[in-house]
Amino acid sequence: MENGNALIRLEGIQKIFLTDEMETHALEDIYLEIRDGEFAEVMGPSGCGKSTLLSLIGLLDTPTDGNYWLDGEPVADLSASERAEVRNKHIGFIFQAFNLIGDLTVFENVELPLIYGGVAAGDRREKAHRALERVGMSHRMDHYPSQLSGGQRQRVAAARAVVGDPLILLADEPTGNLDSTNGEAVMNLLKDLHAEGSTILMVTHDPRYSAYAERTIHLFDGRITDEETAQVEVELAQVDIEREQAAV
Amino acid sequence: MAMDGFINDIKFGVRMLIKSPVMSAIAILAFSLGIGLTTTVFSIVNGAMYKGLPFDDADRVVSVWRVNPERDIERGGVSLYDFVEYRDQNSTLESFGLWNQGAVNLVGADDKPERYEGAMVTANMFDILRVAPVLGRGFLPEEEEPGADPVMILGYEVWQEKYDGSPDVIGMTVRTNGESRTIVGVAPEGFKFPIEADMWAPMEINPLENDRVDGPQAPGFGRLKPGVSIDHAAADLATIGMRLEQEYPEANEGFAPIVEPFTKFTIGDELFALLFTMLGAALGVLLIGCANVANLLFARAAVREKEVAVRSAIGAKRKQIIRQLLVEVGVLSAIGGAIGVLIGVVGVAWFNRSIATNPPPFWMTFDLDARVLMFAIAVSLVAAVAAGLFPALRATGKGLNVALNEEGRGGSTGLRMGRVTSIIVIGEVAVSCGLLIAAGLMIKSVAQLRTIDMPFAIESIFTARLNLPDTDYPDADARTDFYREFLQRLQTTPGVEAATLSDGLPARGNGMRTFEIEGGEYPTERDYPRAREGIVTPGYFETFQAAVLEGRAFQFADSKDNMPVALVNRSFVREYFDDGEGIGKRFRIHQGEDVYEWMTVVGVVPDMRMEGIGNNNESPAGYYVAVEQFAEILGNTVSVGVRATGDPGAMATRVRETLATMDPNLPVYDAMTMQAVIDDATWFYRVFGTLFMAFGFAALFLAAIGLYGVMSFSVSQRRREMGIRMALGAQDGLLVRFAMRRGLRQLAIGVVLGIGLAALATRPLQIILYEVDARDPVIFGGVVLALALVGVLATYIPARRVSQIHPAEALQTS
Repeated sequence: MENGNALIRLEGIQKIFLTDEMETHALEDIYLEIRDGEFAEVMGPSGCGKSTLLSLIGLLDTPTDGNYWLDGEPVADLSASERAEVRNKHIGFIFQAFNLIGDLTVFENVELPLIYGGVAAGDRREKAHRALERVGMSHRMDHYPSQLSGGQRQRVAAARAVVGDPLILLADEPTGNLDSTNGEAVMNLLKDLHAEGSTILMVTHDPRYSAYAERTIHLFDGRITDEETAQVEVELAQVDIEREQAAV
Repeated sequence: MAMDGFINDIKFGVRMLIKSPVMSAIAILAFSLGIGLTTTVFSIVNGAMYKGLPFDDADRVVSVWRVNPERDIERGGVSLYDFVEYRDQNSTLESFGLWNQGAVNLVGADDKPERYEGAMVTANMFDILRVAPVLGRGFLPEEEEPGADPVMILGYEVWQEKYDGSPDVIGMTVRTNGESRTIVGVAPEGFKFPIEADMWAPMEINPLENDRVDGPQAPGFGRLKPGVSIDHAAADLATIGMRLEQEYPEANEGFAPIVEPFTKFTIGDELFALLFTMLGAALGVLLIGCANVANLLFARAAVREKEVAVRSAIGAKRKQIIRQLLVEVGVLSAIGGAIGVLIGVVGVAWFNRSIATNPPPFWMTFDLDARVLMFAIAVSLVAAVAAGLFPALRATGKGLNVALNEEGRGGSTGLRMGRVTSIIVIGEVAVSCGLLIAAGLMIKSVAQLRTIDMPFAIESIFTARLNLPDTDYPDADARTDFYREFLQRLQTTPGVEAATLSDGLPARGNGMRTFEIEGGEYPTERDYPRAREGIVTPGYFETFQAAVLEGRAFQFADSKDNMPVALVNRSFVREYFDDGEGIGKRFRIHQGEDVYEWMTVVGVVPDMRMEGIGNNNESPAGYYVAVEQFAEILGNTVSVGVRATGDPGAMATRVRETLATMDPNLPVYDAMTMQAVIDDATWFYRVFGTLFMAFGFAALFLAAIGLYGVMSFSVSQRRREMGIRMALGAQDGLLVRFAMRRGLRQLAIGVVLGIGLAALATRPLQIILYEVDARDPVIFGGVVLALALVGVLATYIPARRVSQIHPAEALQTS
């Protein structure tokens, strides 16, 4: 798929957490571009800052320093309310723990971003139906999340993420809580969404799913390391896993 | 679009309500009690203070009084002379009139005398009030002139009851207080101006026939001109008042007119303070209810942190989430409010029943009108915001990525919320403590009333009143003759064991008079002592079965031809005779320039509650004089006391029949048993005492639930910590003490603050406390103990429960 202009651009992003008068540098000097239509993944060991990076890109948190452009607009210094509006209109989230609201039905969960976005009831219904059909979950729309399997929940989460036609999908360990079969299915779903034009940035530490992404960004101790080296490391890790599986 | 979201929020709120039935039930109960009591009390405050006169443009109807601070005259009447001057010279009143309410003996076509409240009013009353008679006409200006044909207007209710609503009543001649009058009109239903009058007659405006200093006076009322304020009218009348003071100092020195909203005179400062203390107490219960709900919401917010974070992550603005959380509380408060309104309906019905024997002024009606319902809705909304806003702000104030990624790291939420819930618990305990102390004082007051010492017969006594009109009984001799004869006939009436006539009844409160003791020195008028005075016939103490302690009771021989004698009660002896001996001592009535003959004390009697019930700090000292010897100070109205051989309630007919044998035009009124008299004298304490008891019990109940809920939540949030302590070898007792420590500290701080709050807030309650000090140490101590007990239990039970779980289970708790 042909990738377009820079959808996300980070320049000199820094994130420092202050706890008990101690500074923790979660991210240091991050320069990154994600282009329109790209399927990128962020890999790295636990605690390297992957989720923090995704939170900053998803405007769930603000950087301590640096600049961030989303679709050409500076968004690093937006107010909480403005950030919420950008999240609602331009960003879709898929979380490791699904984060569906247990007291809402599948349909209501998917419809929720549209309610916050002020979409009229008729449009909402149509878009939510379409999103559920897109992930193959329209037949379960009156169910509650607790009545679904893990894979199904993640599909619903994906439907909720895409229902507002966001500029980018941010997936934080989307297979982390799934078995391999369901994990595979969710990754295929992401692949399909990407094929349909979605820009995806995924955080994972599972090398099995690296192949789905076009590009891997390696993070270590809060810094992006060389992407090509990282790619080689991923491929070697993949070979190791395949060898182990073959031995078993 | 916003409405769409709002409806979704409501749907979700209802779903959350169903999902957590216990929590919802507790929240609804807390809201119901708070809103219900507040609505009940506001209905009373609304009826007493805000409804006002039910007339067109009633805000412009004002009262005009004369005040004289030097003479302690707070609201005095306007003399006829002054009335004419004020009426003719003012520029701010559209119209100005006078009123005077008094008892009326009415004898209609059926020749059956009946007693009513009536009012003498200036002929312009209906014009001032903008009320038109439903039948006939109002008064004509010339009907207030001296010598005019006597006319009257009937009240609607009397017209219906006595004349079956017949239009033929117009033109009918009736006798009122012995005088013939022609009925010219019927007032509209419910009209009982100025207070509770059933009929009206024109007041004769004849200043020149009266003395300017000692002539009749009456309260004024008028209608402000459009656009004129009360202050403006007051200034206008004050100018006239100053001129009158200069021109006629002997009649007007120190007097000044005041203008105020018409209804204000019926609500004294103390009652005003009481009503608002009651409203404050009810709001206190509501506050406790809100605190409970807030604590529940804090607990729920901890569980729902992730949901809130998810909503935020997918684009909900903070205000949208806060709105949704508030709508959820709003659903609970709306249900609580609806139940609260039902509680209000029941409460107001109870209040109306309780005051039925002492009806308030006619404009005071207590019901749930539109204003009360609006108030209930507003209170429900405010309660929802009060209970829900802070938890909602806290729930939405957390960092999103933390909440989204946090996988139940147990304990952290409890610690973060700890300070807020601590403040809420302390506040809740403090308000509960204040309310409980108020309730405790009330309980003691009502208990005192139940056990009050009444050294006289109650069960077998029938009482009534009668009034002798001046027209038929023009002087003291005529009245004395009547009383003597009537008493003798009463005493021979079948079913009567003993009978008496007197100016008042025991426990009803006798009037006070100044006097001097023989040999006493009184340099100024102010130095003369005052005591209660009873004017009674022979047989008074026998009828009430009150033993004469020393000497003798009155006899028929104690007539005006013989030596004036008096009986004194035990307190009088104690207060005024240093040697403790009353018999043979002499004293005399010394009322300003009226100095009567010396009276010799011939008997000492018990204290028979001459000070009435509820006059805290009033001296019970009093004396009795004989009707025959002091008929001129007795007046036209006497109370009848009869000790019956059978049911005292059945004596009314016999007493009426006996009276009719002497004067068929005289009605017997206020016919009731002595027990009813006592109940009547104590209704104020019973009604308001019961209300405060309801506040206290509601507060205790809610505080207990709230404390238990908060402590349960607080302890459950520390299960993991408890598990670690257990794993390190902490014993059960130590763990329980550890878990309880924080709760008990909050309890102690709350109680200390509550005592301070109660010390301030219970002062206005003094007027409804019967022989109880508003700072009664026993009640304060008892409440502290009760709260401490409830608080200790509320902290101990959850602490004990958590200390019983297995360490491994506690450590796994997330």
